[in-house]
Amino acid sequence: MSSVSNLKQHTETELLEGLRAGDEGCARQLVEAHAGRMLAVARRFLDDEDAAQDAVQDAFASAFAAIDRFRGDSALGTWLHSILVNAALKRVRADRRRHEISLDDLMPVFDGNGCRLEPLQGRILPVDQLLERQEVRDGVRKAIACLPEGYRAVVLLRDIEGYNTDEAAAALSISVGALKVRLHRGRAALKRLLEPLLEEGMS
Amino acid sequence: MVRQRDSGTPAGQVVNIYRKLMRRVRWVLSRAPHMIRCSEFEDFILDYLDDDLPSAEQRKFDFHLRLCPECRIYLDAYQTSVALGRAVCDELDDAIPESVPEDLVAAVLAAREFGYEGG
Ligand SMILES: [Zn+2]
Repeated sequence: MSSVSNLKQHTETELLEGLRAGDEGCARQLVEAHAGRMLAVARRFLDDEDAAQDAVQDAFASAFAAIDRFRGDSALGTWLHSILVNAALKRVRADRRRHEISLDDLMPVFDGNGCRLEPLQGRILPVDQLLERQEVRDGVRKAIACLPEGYRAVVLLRDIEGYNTDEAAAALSISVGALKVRLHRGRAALKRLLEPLLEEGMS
Repeated sequence: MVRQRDSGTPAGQVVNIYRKLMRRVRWVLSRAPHMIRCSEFEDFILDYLDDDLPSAEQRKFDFHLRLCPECRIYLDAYQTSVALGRAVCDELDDAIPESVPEDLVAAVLAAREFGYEGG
């Protein structure tokens, strides 16, 4: 039975039936189809490669255990993605930083009267124009990876995964106030790191 | 810490003198009713972008934004950075999945067989 399953690609409905019946070939197909993307997302949250792989393994374990409760009102991939995000969040460490960057150095600067000292001159290019540049896309990826995990997770949840403030706070088990502080600091740091890429005539 | 761009060139010096002067003007303005300082403006940004500012604060925020070029630039760059982050991550989601270490696949399948339920 399972050797036959190994040979043919199932539709999502067949795959689901097979998974519920405990078919090993279907399980393998599910893992092979989704693990790559899930690992890529896990790496976005977690600096440590082992932690990222562990998160993927946790996510699949949760998914196999919960497959009977999967309602099919979203695609399997979407369902797995949300399980993976939760698994990755459990491994996020608020204080772990890879490049030893200090977020304090990346915060906006004000003079003694509370007036902003803004290093940019104001010719910020439109987003779609910036995205045409490979150096900008690489720079953005690097800048996100530079953020300490605890801040990065908040930025990823709110700005990329589309969680609202309450959902993101609950997912990270922190207060709404703490979440807002981290989100603002994370975004401000990102802005600071991206400054050299945002203006015309700079590089 | 803050870069003063082109401060060596005459044009750069003029720009820096102008900006310094404008900071002074803003500081005087900041004592006017309804005028907040840049540092207070900073604290409102998150709620402003979430449409969560109470109307009185919203008015102060808008008023400051009109008068303060530095905060306008800052907010523009802040929002641009958020948009870039989103676009670049979405791009990754659409990309062809990278190859997965075979031992990870094997571990996942083995764990399933032994009924491991995640951690
Ligand atoms: Zn200002």
